[in-house]
Amino acid sequence: MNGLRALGKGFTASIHSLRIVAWVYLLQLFIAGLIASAFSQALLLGIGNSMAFDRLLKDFDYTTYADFLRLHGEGVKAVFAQFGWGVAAALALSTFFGGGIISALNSELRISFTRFLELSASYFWRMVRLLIISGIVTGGILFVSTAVLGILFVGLDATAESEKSIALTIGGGTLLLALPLLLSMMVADYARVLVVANDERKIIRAYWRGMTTIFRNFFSAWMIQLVTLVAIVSLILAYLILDERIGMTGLGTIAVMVVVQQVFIGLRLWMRIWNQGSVLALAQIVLGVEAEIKIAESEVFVPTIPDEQGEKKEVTPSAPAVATVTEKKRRARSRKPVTRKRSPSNTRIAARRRSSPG
Amino acid sequence: MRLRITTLSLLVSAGLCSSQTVIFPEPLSPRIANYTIDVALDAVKKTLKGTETLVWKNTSTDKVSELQFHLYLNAFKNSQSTFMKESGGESRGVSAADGGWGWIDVTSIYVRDGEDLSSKMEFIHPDDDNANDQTVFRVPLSKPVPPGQTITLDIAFDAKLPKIFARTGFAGNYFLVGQWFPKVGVYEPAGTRYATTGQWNTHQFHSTTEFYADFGVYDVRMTVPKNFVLGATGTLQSRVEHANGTATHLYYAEDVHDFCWTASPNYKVVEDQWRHVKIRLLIQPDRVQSQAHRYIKSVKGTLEYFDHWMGKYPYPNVTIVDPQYGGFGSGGMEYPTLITGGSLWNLPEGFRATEGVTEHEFGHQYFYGMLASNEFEEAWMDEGFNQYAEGRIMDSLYGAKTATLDLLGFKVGDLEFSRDGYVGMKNPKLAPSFNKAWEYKAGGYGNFTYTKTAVWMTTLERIIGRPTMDEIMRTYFERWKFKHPCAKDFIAIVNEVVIARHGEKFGSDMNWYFEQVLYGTNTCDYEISSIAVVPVRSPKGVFDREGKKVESAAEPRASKPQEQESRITISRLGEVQLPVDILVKFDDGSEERSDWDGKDRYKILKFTKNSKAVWAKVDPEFKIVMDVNRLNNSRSFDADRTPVWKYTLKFLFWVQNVLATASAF
Repeated sequence: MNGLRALGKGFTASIHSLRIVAWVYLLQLFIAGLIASAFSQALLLGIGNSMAFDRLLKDFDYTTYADFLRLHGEGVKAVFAQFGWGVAAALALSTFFGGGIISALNSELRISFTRFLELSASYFWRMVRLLIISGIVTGGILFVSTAVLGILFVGLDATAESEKSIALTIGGGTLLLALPLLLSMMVADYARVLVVANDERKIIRAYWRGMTTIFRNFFSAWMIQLVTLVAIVSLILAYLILDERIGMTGLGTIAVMVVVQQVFIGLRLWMRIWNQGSVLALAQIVLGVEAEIKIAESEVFVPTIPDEQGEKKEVTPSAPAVATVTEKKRRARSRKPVTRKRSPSNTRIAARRRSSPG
Repeated sequence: MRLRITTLSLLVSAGLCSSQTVIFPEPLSPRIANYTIDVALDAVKKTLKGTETLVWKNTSTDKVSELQFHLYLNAFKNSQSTFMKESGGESRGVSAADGGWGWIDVTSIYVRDGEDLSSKMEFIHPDDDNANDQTVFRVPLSKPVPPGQTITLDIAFDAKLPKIFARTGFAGNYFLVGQWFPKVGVYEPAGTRYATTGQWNTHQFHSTTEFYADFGVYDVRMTVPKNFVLGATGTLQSRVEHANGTATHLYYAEDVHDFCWTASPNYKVVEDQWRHVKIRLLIQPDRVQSQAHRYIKSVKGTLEYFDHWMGKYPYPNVTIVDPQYGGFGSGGMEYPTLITGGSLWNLPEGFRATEGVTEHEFGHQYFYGMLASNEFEEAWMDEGFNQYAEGRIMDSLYGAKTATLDLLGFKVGDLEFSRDGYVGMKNPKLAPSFNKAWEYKAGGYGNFTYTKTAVWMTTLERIIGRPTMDEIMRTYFERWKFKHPCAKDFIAIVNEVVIARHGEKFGSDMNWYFEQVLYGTNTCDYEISSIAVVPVRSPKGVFDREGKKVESAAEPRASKPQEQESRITISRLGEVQLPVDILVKFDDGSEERSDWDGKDRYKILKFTKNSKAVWAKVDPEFKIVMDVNRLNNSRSFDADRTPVWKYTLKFLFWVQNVLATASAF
């Protein structure tokens, strides 16, 4: 039931972190907007004063589409070149925000955007290292998977009398080999939590502990992942149904669909936060960190999680960043009380402030 | 109606005694090349051993002193054949497999009750100087065949089938046996097609060529392992099992010009009926559930369409072969009364490859099967006409916007697909449609013969009207079925029918059209170059009135203060000149339609009205399908940007999704 509990806690945490969702959404919208704006310009430049695009409003028109790509495809290609930069930016942003998001999920209090950025910055380089390790592992899995599937295909192709057996084998194999890829992503998620929650500095150790946590809590960890996957697939299906029913055939329906699309994106991003909240919650539950911390906005808490030897180490979050001189002043002005509940498990919750990020 | 009577006609007169079911009481064709073949398949060694009796009739007024034969299988004999050199070992998306070579040897050839011609056989290379090519041979005759007489030859041959490549061969236990027997060429008497004197027309097998043969009667016995399901051109007459584990299937066909057969132990047989036509589908077991009904629906729809459009399909049956995995190189091919399709297990319904290939190959029963043009020299007449037919039929059966693809909102019609094949070429001016198939050295054979022809045929149809076009096609079929038509024969019919229906509306003939689209390489592109609207003003300046100089101010006409002059400039950017319509819309909702012969480089249309032109379109009904740029066919003062918004927002959404996915890592 740990999985369910974690999903519940993750849900609550994600609801409390809707502002984070909004920030991430807005930043991504900004990047996507830049690319889409270039796309729009490419369309407008290509089509000029022609009315040919009218045929694309009510329905898809292949002739118009094909002529446009053939005659003005270069403009669209240039936009797709920017697309790569957009993806890189999104990846960089998500890496940057990784620590901030987990810290925010760990707090029941609202965190200002400035604080969020500070928290994010304090963990950034560890998140980068984690991304590199995760990338290497994922790349390795992809390489091995592709090689295995390739060998399978070549072997079957030479002798098969029916594509059915090939399709089932390769399809099944792909699904099967997708599991290690998914696992690799999950491990990265748990490692991120450990880096932030336990102020883990040794990234490989965090990665390893992330993996052992998943295998020791196999059903709970996969339950969280599956629930997230099912939720996203359901969301996609719902979108496709709405898109089919509503269409984008006039100004009115376009307006409606834009709202639907943006709600969809918002929900996708929220689901990701929910997933991360659930991962954090599961880590807290299974690794004995059950602290509920109520701290002032400017305070940073970093719960410790027992290391593999079961020792509770005192966390000195170099990263957390934490309160700057300005914040100290602000806190002094606000004189808000700091409330902490320590977990029964003698875990030391170190809420440390540092005047400068480490 | 099929009659069970004993054949007493040509075959008896030729000395052959056969007791097959006569299909046509009256021959439909001249029955020039008639074969009786007995062949055995060694399914393990992938070889054929056969004997063939050819009864060939000299329908010319010449004494024919030599015979020429095709040995198509030798195209796959080695890398030095003309076919392999041209194709680089690749054809129809399949690579020639090492060790999968195929060949055919004529082990003996005799004139019935006469001389042994075996030692006189000589390979010839009428199309190139490739001495290594063994796809055509000639044999001189000591006694020439007199006009109107027949010659009977007894031929023995051994053949090794290639691994499936370029239509024919084997894949495991799947066999598609096409172009497999020594086949006599076509002797064209003076007046046939372009022949000014009697001559053999026997081309080598090229990577881009198909076939050309005379009609005749085929009586073929095929011996294969008895667990094999067999299908072939013609109708099954008998099946006899032997003690050695084989079975002999006897197939008989009349008024056809080729014979193909297939055998495999894996086939499932699905049978159906359309009017007088028995449909037999030989399909791979895994595909029965998801694809069989698609094959059947497509072939029935095509039969129905052709029956109404062109004329009756006279044969009693059609066999559809669904190639096995690994045998796709034999898919999408036509033979008389037998076609090969192309499908995949659980291929989505929206991807209409099964239907499209079936329709196309069945269409060849008309354009090739009965209208037996020379596929070597005028591939546009079978492939192009058939592609045009495919566009009409597929779009009619499966929707003009969805006949080729209808998946996840992406839709492509068949004609749209053809047009894109032609206008989407890097250089659509590279070659004409009228060209020998092996002379597309720089590529583009498929586009210039299939899709360009389909596009200009559709353009012709839309210029002269569908009823006129239908009459042309019906006349063409009626006049030329079971013969060898060529370009000039078709053009003559077009001229005849267009003049009969439209007088000289399009000129004294339509040759101008074919000069441009069939024999020419130019492209067509009309454009609305500009729209300008200026208020109509009174004349200004100094005028002589009643002996006095009067100066007039530049004021709008008092009587018609709102009059505007709208000037529309239409340009011809391409070299092809076609008549076009122009439609202009005004801001009071009215429309004006004009026509233009499209010959000058540009035309300016002027409209003086109380309203302003808001948009103009050249070729508003999209008659000129061969116009290579549809985007410039319209122009508006205030183009609606809603579609741009639609696609920008869709794009934004998908970019956001990609970014959201990237953030998950």
